[in-house]
Amino acid sequence: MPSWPLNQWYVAAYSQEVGDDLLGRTICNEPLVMYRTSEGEVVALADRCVHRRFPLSMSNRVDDSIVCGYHGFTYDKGGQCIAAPAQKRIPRTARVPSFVVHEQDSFVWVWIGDNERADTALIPRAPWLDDPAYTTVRGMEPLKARYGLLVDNLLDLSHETYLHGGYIGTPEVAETPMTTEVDEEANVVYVSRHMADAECPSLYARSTGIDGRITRWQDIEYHPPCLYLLHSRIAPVGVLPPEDGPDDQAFHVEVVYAITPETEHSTHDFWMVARDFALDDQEISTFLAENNRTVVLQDVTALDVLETVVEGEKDHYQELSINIDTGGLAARRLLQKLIAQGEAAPVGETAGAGDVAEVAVRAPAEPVPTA
Amino acid sequence: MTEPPLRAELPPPTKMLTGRSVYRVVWKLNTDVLVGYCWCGESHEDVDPIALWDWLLAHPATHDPAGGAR
Ligand code: FES
Ligand SMILES: [Fe+2]
Ligand SMILES: [Zn+2]
Repeated sequence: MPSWPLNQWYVAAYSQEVGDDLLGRTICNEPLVMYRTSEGEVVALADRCVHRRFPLSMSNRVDDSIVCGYHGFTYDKGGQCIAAPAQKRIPRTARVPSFVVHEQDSFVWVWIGDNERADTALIPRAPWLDDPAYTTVRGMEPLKARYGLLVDNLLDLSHETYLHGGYIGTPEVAETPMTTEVDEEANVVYVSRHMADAECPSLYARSTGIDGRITRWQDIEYHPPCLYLLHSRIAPVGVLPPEDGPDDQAFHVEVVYAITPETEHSTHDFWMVARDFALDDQEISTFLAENNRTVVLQDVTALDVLETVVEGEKDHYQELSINIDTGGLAARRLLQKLIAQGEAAPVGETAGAGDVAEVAVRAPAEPVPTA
Repeated sequence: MTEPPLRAELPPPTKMLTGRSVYRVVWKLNTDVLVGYCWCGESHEDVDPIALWDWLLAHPATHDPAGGAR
């Protein structure tokens, strides 16, 4: 069984990546070929010709069909083989599986599971990524590590000081109480760190026009398995979001990650930074893009190493968890719950989702040392 | 081992999620104590996040079945 939940939506690509050309990408161990039809619709098919397995992503697009680059089997956008060389009758079984996709918020989401269970209402939202009121910079880094290591990494902001020293930490961070929330029904982990009175980084002071100290919120919202949001809110000291209406006295930076397993030992690390101020300021765009990419690459380097360590260790290696891991433990537990739910038979069988909610997050642990 | 600080020194949890069954854990960095709040309002403190999650997740089992949310 895979280490990720089945019957879930995963980000397969940025919308802008999928066009006329054939794009090959493995999502959750499924090699996919994607393209956009003449009608503008995104198609995702299994990237293996039924004849001798040649990758369709290395084949040729002819109108809205793919002609295999080896012997010419031709597939329509539904994956059905509609022509084979020198052959009058096409076997009805000649088809490649087709995947359910949905474009939203600048992403191409793909459903990994039973196609009948795909429900687009379940896709978590990141609306600012596709909103003219925001400017977004983005990238994608290949990670040679299992997706769980990236989840652990992103849920724990305390590694900022060590792994990213000088890039994102500020002195007030260490002084601020943190709340971790878990919504058991909606399957969301939320970690908030609200600094009432903090120093304003100079770049933000210049670009927002805020002069003086700020109220700074950093809130993580993780929708397992794939979507991670880091809401960063900057406002003059004491300015809180209104009860209703837009939070327009504040400035927002929305950092988004899509954490998509490629294989059991590799991950697509999609990252974006959106902001609702200084929309045309190229210097800020460059700063946010370069700064975030640097931070992402620091994590990639560390996690690539960690993957080799984890692969090499004996079974039942005992980790030690401390308070900084509160959010990460919550995320792991929700993932375990979703894995169990995703494997449960959809209809007719009695495996109840309620039975799986109590999956433990630990093996017997050593006590955490205290002062 | 010193006594953990009193719960009263920690602020109430920040409430950002609005669902019916939300567990919350508050931690002030550079202290060792965590305070967990079940969605029913009960709270519990611990210095081990794993033990605290175990307490929180077990708590619904002790709720009055007539009055609980599950
Ligand atoms: S492998 Fe595709 S047609 Fe032969
Ligand atoms: Fe990091
Ligand atoms: Zn309770």
